[in-house]
Amino acid sequence: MFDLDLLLRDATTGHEVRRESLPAHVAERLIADTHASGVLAGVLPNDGAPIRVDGFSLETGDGPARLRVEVGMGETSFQKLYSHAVLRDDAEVIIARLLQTKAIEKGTYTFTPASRTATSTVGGRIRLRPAPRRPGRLPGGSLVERGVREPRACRHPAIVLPRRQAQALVSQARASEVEVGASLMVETFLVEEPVPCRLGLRVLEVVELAHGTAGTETHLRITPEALAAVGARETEARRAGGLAHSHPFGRKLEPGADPRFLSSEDKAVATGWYWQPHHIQMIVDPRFTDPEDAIAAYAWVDAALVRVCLYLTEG
Amino acid sequence: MEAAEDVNGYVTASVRHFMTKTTSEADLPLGLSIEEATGEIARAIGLPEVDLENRAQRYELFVHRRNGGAEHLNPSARVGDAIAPGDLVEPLPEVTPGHPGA
Repeated sequence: MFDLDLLLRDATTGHEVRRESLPAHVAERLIADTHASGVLAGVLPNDGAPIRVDGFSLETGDGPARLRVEVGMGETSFQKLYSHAVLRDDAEVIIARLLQTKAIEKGTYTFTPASRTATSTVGGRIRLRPAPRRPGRLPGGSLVERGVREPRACRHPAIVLPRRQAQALVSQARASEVEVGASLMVETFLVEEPVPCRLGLRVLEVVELAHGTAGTETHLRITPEALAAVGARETEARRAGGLAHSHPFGRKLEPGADPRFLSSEDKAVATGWYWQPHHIQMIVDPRFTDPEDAIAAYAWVDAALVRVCLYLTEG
Repeated sequence: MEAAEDVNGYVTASVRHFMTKTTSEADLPLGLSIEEATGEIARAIGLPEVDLENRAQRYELFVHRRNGGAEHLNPSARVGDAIAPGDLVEPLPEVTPGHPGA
């Protein structure tokens, strides 16, 4: 039902260049986003009950292909239509992999989702009985009570970053000449103020990743042990909300170029593991001391990664 | 005479996706190595299978015992020796985000 391919075409000729399987987590991201959108719109109940996937289909009419996803809870359901553009970051990751392995030439490609044509021949030896998806309940919470003076009319999740945590990120980045990272422990809440996107998250703690460096300017190393240590600190009210890492190579870029971008490898991490609606990525430029200048944030908006603004609070 | 080991059969354990916390029940073949089981579990629960260089994504398997203990499992151990009924197992990746072109 969720098996999709990504079709790559030469942008100039329109010829099909490659067909690649889209990983299973792509569909899961769209399902999670549809569920969250339904809850935020007040259509689906916010009670933590299991969800159903009532529909997941590829629509190929005259225009570009679209994906229709329908999520149900109890008697109600909510559906959302995604353009092919929602797969932009997935396509970038796949293209980066194909370029790395020299499976395709450098060039300009277009992408579109397509029904899977090949079935996997790799038979699993384990027997899995999946539990129902259960995204959990969002408790209510006020941005103002969390130190936000004036909530803004943003379409993206409201991210509250207390200045103390922001300063910890900047200090960690500035203390090292190589790339370093931290896990962001967050609380998630349903924003009580009337803002366009009612998903809120506040960074509660910045957990430096043990051995979280590859010892270079350009790579972070996140070990399974470091992730296990983060997982041990999680509770229902305190979740792993994403990653922050430094990009300490700003001085090597063209003058005026901003190093606070997500590379293809960063996007592989975000799309592969940190794809839930409340997951964020932060990039820190250690040339700056003020968090306003040093930190850029990325969040999922309609299941696509977007650079977003932050609320830096004093509390 | 050395007794033949029974490598047929399964142990039933819970497997958890480390980010979504979704937990499923799984029958794990007793004769699989932990390394083999880790790859199959990761694939079954939808974790990425390859890295950006198209190498198999590396995962390590952590187990949470019913008595509250937690440990990292040796990849060369066998499922039948390392995992007990009712354990919760969780594959965790080693990931290296970065920017090769900088």
